[in-house]
Amino acid sequence: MHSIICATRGGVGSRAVEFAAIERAKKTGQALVFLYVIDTGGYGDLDDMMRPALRDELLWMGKTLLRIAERRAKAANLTAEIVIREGYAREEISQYAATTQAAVLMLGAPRFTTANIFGDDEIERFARSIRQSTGIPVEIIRAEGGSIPVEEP
Amino acid sequence: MESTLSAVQEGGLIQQEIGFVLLLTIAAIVAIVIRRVRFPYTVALVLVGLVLSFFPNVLSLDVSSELILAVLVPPLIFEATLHIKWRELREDLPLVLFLAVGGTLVSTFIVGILVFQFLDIPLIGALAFGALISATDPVAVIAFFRRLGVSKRLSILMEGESLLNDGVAIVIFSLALNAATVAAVSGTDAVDFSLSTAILEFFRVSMGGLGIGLVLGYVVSYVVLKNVDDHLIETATTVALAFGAYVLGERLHVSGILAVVAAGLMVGNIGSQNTSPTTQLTLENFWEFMAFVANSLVFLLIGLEILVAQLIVFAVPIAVAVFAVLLSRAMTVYSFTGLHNQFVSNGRAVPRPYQHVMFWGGLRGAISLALVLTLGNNLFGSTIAQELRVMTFGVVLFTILFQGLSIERLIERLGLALRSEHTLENQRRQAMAYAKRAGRRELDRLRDEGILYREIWEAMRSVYDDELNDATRRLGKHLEAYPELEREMYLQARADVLKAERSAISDAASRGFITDEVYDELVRRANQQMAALELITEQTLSPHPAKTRDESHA
Repeated sequence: MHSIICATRGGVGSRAVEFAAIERAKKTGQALVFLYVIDTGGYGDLDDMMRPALRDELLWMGKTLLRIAERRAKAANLTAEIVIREGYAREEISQYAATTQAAVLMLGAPRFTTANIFGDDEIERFARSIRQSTGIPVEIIRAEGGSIPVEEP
Repeated sequence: MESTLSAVQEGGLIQQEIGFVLLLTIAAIVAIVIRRVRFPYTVALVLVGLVLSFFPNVLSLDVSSELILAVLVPPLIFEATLHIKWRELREDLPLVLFLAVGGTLVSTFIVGILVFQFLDIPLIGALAFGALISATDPVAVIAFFRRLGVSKRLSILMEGESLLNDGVAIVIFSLALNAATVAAVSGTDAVDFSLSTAILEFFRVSMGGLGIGLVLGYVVSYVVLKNVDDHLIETATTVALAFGAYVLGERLHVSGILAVVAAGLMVGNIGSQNTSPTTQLTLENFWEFMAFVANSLVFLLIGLEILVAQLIVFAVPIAVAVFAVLLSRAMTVYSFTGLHNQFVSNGRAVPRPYQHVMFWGGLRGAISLALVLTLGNNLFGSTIAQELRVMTFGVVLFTILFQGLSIERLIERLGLALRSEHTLENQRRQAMAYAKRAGRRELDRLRDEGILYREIWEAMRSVYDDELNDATRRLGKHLEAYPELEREMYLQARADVLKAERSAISDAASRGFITDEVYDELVRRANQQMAALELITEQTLSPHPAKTRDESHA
């Protein structure tokens, strides 16, 4: 059965997107997967000792975040699968959604008022590119509530 | 005859030692008292020094200018450089250099010209003042940054600028004094000034100093720190390096201070990586102590040099100096960062709020005071030398008292304090739940020990249970409203557990469970984990983070 994939990294929109994914899984009965990607690429030039340490720390954080999401699902009487991948986050999310033929990919959007430098446009562009390349429906959940369905360009 | 002379010298030495011991004792007492009240330590030291100046016989110290420059300044500079990480500095190096070199030169001339125009001070003396007062000292501001969670980039910009402009200011100051000495020897008022010669001399002195520091720092980092595994020998070597770089630089007629800067950068970035965690810790503690002593002595000494009445006598020169310093700082910060922003992408531009903090946070401190203390009475006459001392003291006091005490509010108003009201509210609610739990545990202990009558315990416990449930519920609600705090909470907890892990490793070593070799390996790994977590924390908390590749999902 096709599953709902919820990508999380513990940002501002994580809580909202996790609960939205749980809600959808309860309604549709589809399997729920929480996905976290270890991506050290955005941390600039790191020396040979720092990169593995950073990878380990991101892994630790990912495990914790996924367990929080898993517990949230459990509290709603759902069993969720947790997946950790490593690489370029956008590619990994896109690839995972494609190979598992996901029913839908759910992403969280930062609240407009936060300091996150990415505006919603950035996420929408990312979501549209996945929608275009994989054909998988993508939904963006806002931190303050409400969703943005992503149409094919 | 000889024995009489040595006895006299010995007596002088003992007198100096007594003075030194007294100063350190006073500094320690001030530091202890200041921990209980929210007041800048350095200002307290100056005020104590001012009070002591009423009793000149109590502390009769003969402090020469050589002693201040050669003994007190190198530790201040060396300690500051140890914390500057090249990885962080290099991204903004062009701007830091621009501000430190160009900014200090421009500031020297603006202040010098204004002081020369409005006060009865010779041009060369005014330029020497302009140079010494252009050295910024943002230590107090950086402490606020850490507390308020201000971006690391702003810290690096200000710390990097301060570090290099100390060196540049000292070079310009020395050049001005040399020019004044030449003028005094030749018996003319006018100085034979050639801009091209001065620029060439400036570069010769600066590059020569940096070169010597880099070579010595390289040798110590790669030869001694890498191959010798003894924290005492390694620390002693860094002491020899800090003072040796200064002395060699001065002997070769280049900048001893810039030699110390370069040597410190080498040790802080390469040398410390080649040492064991034990040595790293020893180096950190030792140099922190050295800087504390040097800083305390400089601030006390300036307090001793100034008489309170002179602050009133020289009120106008102080006001002119403060005005000149603020004007020059505003002109250099806004124009230089503005120019920089024209040539870089948006991601590397310096945002306007940063510029405001860089302007108002440009405090003056120990280096300015140390330099002005080196001004003897021979060069400009005792009246002008004293006027310059009081002006410097007035500017430092103004910047520490008015700018230092208002910078926190400015940072908050500019929205740069990332530990926002939400975070503080979260901390309040966390602390409330934490305190209630501790209270309930104590209540249970009282019951277990038979001190509390069961019926009273039951009643008190039920009240505690209600309060604890309420505190936990309120904390949960707050986290629901501000989910970003979950990540902050995670990062804080993770930092705490990593520290606990490192302490456990030290504990295992001290109990003899593990060998020194295993200890070093494990602590090094734990330090790497903590550094990695710091990177993640910076990325999370920074208002203007480097654009990461994985930020486009929740």
